[in-house]
Amino acid sequence: MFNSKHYVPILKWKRAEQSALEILKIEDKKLMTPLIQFVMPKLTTKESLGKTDDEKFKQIILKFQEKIKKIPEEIIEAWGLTPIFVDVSLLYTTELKVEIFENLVLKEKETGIFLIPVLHLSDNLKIIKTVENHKHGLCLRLVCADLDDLNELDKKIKSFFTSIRLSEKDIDLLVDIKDIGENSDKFFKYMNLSKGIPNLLKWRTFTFASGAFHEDLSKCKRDEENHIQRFDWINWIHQIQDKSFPRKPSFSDYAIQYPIYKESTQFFAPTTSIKYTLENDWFILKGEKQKFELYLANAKLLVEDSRFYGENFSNGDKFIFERANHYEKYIKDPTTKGTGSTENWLTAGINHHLTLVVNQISNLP
Amino acid sequence: MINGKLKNKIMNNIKIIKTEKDYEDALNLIKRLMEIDPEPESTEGEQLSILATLIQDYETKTFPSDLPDPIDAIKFRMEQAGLKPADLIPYIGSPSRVSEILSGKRNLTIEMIRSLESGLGIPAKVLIQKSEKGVESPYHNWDNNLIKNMANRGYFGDISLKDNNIPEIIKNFFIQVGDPTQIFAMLRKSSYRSSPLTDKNALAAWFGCVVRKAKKIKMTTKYKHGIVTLDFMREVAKLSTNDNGPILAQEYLKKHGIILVMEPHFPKTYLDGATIFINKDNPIIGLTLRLNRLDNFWFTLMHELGHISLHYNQDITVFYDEIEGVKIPDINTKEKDADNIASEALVPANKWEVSPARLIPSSLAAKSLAKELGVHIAIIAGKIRHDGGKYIYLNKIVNETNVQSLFPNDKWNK
Repeated sequence: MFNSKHYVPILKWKRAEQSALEILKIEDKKLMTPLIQFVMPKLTTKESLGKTDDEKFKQIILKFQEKIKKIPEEIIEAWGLTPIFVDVSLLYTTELKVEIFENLVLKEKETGIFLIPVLHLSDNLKIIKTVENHKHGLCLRLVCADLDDLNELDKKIKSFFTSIRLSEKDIDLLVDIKDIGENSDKFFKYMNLSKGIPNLLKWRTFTFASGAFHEDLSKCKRDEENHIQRFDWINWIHQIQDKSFPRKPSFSDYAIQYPIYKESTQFFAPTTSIKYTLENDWFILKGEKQKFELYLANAKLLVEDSRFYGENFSNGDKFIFERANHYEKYIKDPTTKGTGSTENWLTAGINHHLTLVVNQISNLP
Repeated sequence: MINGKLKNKIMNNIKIIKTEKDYEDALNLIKRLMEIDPEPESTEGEQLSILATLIQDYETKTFPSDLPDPIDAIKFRMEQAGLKPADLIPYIGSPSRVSEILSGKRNLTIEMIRSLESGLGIPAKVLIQKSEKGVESPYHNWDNNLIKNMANRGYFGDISLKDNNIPEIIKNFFIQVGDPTQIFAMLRKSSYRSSPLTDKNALAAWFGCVVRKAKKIKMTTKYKHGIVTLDFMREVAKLSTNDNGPILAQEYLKKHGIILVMEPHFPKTYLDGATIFINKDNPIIGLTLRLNRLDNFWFTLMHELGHISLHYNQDITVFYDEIEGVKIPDINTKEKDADNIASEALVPANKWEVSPARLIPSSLAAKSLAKELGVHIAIIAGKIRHDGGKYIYLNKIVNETNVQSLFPNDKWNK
């Protein structure tokens, strides 16, 4: 399917991420296969009013079930008919995970979407069985705990194969160590342990994922230039130069988000900060909670800076450029609106990131 | 009523007292005038007042230490007779008037002298003298630490403080600047943008040193009023982008007849700078570099240039400016105008209004606007901190340059 010069961004299946994929340029889409993770919806204040926790839980499940039918349509709109990894691990119940896989597989034939279900070694057999013989193959996503004991991993993988009717050549292997922050040791430790994965050369593809983006921007200061090192990228670049490694992994990251999904964070208003990906770091232009005019002011600063990639680099950059130009008009007359929402800015940031990474990878020797 | 003959005789005899005989004649005349008890506003009353002044001057010159101070004499008499201040009301007037007289805030009138002489038996000769209480010379009551500080800075040369009379030393220091009487009269009329806690003597000392320093600078150009415009100030501000911007500004101003000198401030003052119009050909700007920050240097310089631009040839000779970090209850219009033109010269309001720096206290925002305006980033950082009250931000930028070190010949406070 793909070799090491390919990008696997891991994204939650939410509106901002969907839009970021949708506005990618076609040529950039060809160099990546996103891994989308479904997440539970949140209830509005009105929806949760007067309900017990149990009732709220049921309401959330119901709300997601209502969404399931629309997902193939969303995938077509945002991504099209090329391969896409679909991960259900963040959903609340096994039943829900089974339900969505069943639904997607069913719709696959009808709509022509190209899904690759993502499974974990810890997945319930019911889930695995739903996609045991999936026509486009599967993706096996290994986590740190899986790699800590390679003997145990060997056993688990063998057991996994007894549950499905596919072999390594039909399966994309994704090692996902999630958060590395500034800890390069963790990256290289698990990269080395990956050498011991059984039949590493036989899997259809091999991808190594990690994320260095911070959990929040609390370490970023308002009066300083803030940069977060992209250790996921820096370490990966370093690693693929190691010729002794049996197989070069493809690059995978979490774009401009923290790798570990925390539902609680979605209830807090984020600061109106711009997260702009550069070659080796993320440039953070910090805003304040609810101060949407700061998006425009920071956009103006970014666009005037030599590090801005230009309005034609990506649609995300085009959005930043347009908002920057709107700044002066807005500041003189805020009733003109047009600051862009948190979602718009996340879309722009992710879109720029995806475009940049694809460029970086395609320009590798 | 006084008859016409006597009146003419008195008028003919009022003259400057030069000899012992003149003095005796004047005493006789004043005695006769006091006998007729004239109204103060009447011609005779005025003559009495003139004679009293002439006698006082003569006595001061001729026998300065023989007579006690009039207030001391009153207090002595009160002690002798067991009188309280309220007991003086019949001779002096209201309780507040008694208090003002005893504290030396007000001089005795002829009427009071007359009452005190007749009522308490204190000789008019004593009472008529000018009291030294409350109206001491400007060289007295200087803070000891200030004197030591001045000595440490070499203001007094090699003179030892131990062996000399301090008021005399201070007076001699000011003589090097000009006529001390005129200087202190001028300083009293100066514009003080200062904290109520500021030691005015320290400001005077600083002024003296700045003028002395300025006098040593050879100036070949006379200042032409009208050249310091907003554009001129912006040209000066653009020099800030150079590492030695303050030095370049000093040279640039010199070419235009303006002297810029540095002199550290004194303790008990918060002085940032001053504009001195003592010599209209060459206005002097003195800066203290008290905060040793580039933003403070440039704003204060622009503020003082603002005074030159707006307040040259007006009634004030010295503008003292404590600008940053000082709570001043009421800043007058002249100061506000100088602030405004300084601000406009450094960061024009129309640019500031639409700059992201107004909203974001970031180094990037400061850098962007500084680049657009062609001024040093510290100037923008200072504006962000001051206008937004965001003094916790951008410390690194404003403190990056040690301005004092650009002027190594000045003795800076450690």
